[in-house]
Amino acid sequence: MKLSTNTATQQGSLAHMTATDINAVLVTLQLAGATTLILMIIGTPIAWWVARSQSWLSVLVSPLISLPLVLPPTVIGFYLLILFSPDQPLGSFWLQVTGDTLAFSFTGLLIGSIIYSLPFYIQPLQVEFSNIDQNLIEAATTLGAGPSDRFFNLVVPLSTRGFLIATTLTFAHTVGEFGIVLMIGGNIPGETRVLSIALYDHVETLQYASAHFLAGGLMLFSFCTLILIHIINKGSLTMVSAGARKN
Amino acid sequence: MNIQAQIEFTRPSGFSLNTQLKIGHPGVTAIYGQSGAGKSTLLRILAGLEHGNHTDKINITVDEHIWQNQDQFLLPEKRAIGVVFQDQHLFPHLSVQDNLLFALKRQHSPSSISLENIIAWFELGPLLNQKVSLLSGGESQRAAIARVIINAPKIILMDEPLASLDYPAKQRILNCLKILKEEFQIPILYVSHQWDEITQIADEVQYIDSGRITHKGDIATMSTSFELGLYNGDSAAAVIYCKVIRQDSEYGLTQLKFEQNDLFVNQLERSPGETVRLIISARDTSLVSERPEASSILNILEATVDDFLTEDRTTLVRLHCGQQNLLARITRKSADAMQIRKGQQLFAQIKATALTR
Amino acid sequence: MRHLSLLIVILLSCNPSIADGKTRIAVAANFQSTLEALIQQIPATLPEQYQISAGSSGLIYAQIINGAPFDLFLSADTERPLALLDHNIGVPESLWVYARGRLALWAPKRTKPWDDLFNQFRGKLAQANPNFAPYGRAATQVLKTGLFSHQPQPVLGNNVAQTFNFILTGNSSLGFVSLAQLLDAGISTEKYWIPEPKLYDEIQQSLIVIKDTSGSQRLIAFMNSRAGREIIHEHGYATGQLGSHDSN
Repeated sequence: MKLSTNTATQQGSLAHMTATDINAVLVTLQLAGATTLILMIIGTPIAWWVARSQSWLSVLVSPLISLPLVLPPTVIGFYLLILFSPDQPLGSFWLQVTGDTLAFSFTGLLIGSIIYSLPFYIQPLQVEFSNIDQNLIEAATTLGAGPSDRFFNLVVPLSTRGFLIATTLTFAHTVGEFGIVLMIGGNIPGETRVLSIALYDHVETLQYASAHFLAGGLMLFSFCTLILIHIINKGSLTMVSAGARKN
Repeated sequence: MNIQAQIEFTRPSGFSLNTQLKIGHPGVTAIYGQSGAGKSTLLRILAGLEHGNHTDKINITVDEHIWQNQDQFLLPEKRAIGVVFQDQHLFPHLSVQDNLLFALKRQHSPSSISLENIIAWFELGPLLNQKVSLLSGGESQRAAIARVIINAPKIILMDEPLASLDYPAKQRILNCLKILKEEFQIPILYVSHQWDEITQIADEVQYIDSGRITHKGDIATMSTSFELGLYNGDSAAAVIYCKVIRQDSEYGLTQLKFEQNDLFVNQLERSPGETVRLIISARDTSLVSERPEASSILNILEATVDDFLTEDRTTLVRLHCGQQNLLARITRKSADAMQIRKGQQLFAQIKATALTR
Repeated sequence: MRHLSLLIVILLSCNPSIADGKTRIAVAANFQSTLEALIQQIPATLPEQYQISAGSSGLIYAQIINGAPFDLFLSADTERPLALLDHNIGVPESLWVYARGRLALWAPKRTKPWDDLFNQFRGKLAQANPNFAPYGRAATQVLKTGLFSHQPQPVLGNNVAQTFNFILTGNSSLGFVSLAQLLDAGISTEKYWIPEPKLYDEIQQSLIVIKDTSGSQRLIAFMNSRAGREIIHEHGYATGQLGSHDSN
């Protein structure tokens, strides 16, 4: 059974692959979107606490958060594989509740993505938070604003740049996720077969035309993301935060 | 309005604050002292912005409510305190109007003060939609004070509010503050190291040195006291209170009654019967042993020498005039020539144009 | 000028394939341990002569196409070596089926009889990706024969090694791996079931010489010998082919 590399078959494969690739795009977008949303909810208070806390605990937590930056994704994936196993407490709990394993599921991927992209959300936001002038917060306090009032009506508007960068980076980073998905995904179409896996499959099956197509698309996406972040950084989108920089 | 505070507070740098603060009346209480004496720290502790640690002892009671003691700590956002900082701290992401609305929305107590009035009094009309970063120093300080007032606090703390402003801006705001005092009846704690601001606005002065409040008294007494080094250079001035008698439009003057004397000043926008505060600089006051027959100086007041202080080239003389005091700075030569001594009866001369309000 | 040529000679001699005559082998992951066992036993040859890189055949192929300096490629299939030849890489006469893989179904926690399992199992079954992993393709072929009453949902590993891992960590309770892996891991025979070889296309693992070295020649000769084939059998593969070498 010789796999042919002539053009006709390539084009036929191209047409065939496009349908499943679109599926992979959808899964990828869902994964990136869900990861970003969840990180917005749980990551924002963590970023705030690390940025403002004086306690020794925050000194410990900060490197922990950065860990996924330096750990190879395959290491994270490997430990997740063990953690998700039905022989372990988390895996068996999940099995009992849902009847399914955490590995090879979208939820399992989601957990992996959240860990993988955690520092990409928290760090830009944390930097932004720590740059907010403490005096402004004190002024809001004396005007009668309590902690959540201050956070939503002062801190958040002053940190739009940080939020934009954090969410953009998180989304883009999750789109590119591969090592973890490779370890725990199981390549299930519509559930765990993300773009990077689809690309890998095309390479493995010698379908280089499709691989080029996907890879080119991912490159374009990454490039646009970087342009967007560059624009945000330059301040064309958020001019106000500049006024609150401590100098 | 009754504020009682006992504070023992130390920082690792060696700075310490160890003092009692009592304020029992409305009006402006000034906290006066040199930089580093602890004035700002005192305000921050009152506002609840500094917690202190477990070795510090802080007790604050306001109108029988405990704000802070060893066991309790009322959060700063719940203390109805307004703070005006030297750097304004207007919110940069909001316009001037939105800054005011932010404060309005979080009023500490229902208030009869209307936003329109505040905008008018502080002349913020044309600035309402301005970006905060484009305001001048004086404009943003006016906006900051307006923001604090609309917030309806029970006390206003001001920490060197005029320090970064030029003279015209300062005067403009001091005039606003005088209105504030009269219209709003909110007690103000005014921290400054500028004596000429304090003489214009304070009713009581508390003097702080190295973290302790060492002297306090009403402004008139404190301004003529020799103890505190307030008499340095040109800032020596007596604060006195007079009553308006009538306006003299022909000559552009106002006639006032000061103790038993008549006093003429440049025209003031006041009605007869009103009490007016005047600040008379010591160097604008000269002395004469006998009432001159005809003098260009309009104001010649009978007074008795209470005490005097001899310095290198000048002598500062404190005079009793009825119940109030005046200060005069004369050359040592003249003092010797006139044989200045306690109990001596003299006349003080003050030019009408020299008086400030 | 003399210094420059001296420098060049030194730099060139740092290239291992010229200086110390090592043979660099790229091998499919599933055959790695077998290859290591073979290398230990080649007569009159030190194991250090060989440098082994194990991985997925597809990736190795992509690397070789792009110039990776391997001397010998032991693939998990025959397509990849053929594809290399298409690209004028490799010595055509060296193409040789060095082993035939055997598929096995592994159920580490099995308590029921196999028939019950085949009738009742509903769930996810781990296998290698049929699109590019030969053991995966074989697994799919076996599944197509209607082995299970309820067609299980496949969980795909990129290669049979990853599939093995899925089952080993307990994330899959059932899956198709290679017999070689099970033997290597010493899994007890009652935990696995071997499908008839006729149910699936032979998993013909072929090698190709890319750059001839004395090391490659000795290895291939050994693999062809009786002693070599015994080792290959022990590790769960069948040997021999219809072709230019001895068949067994």
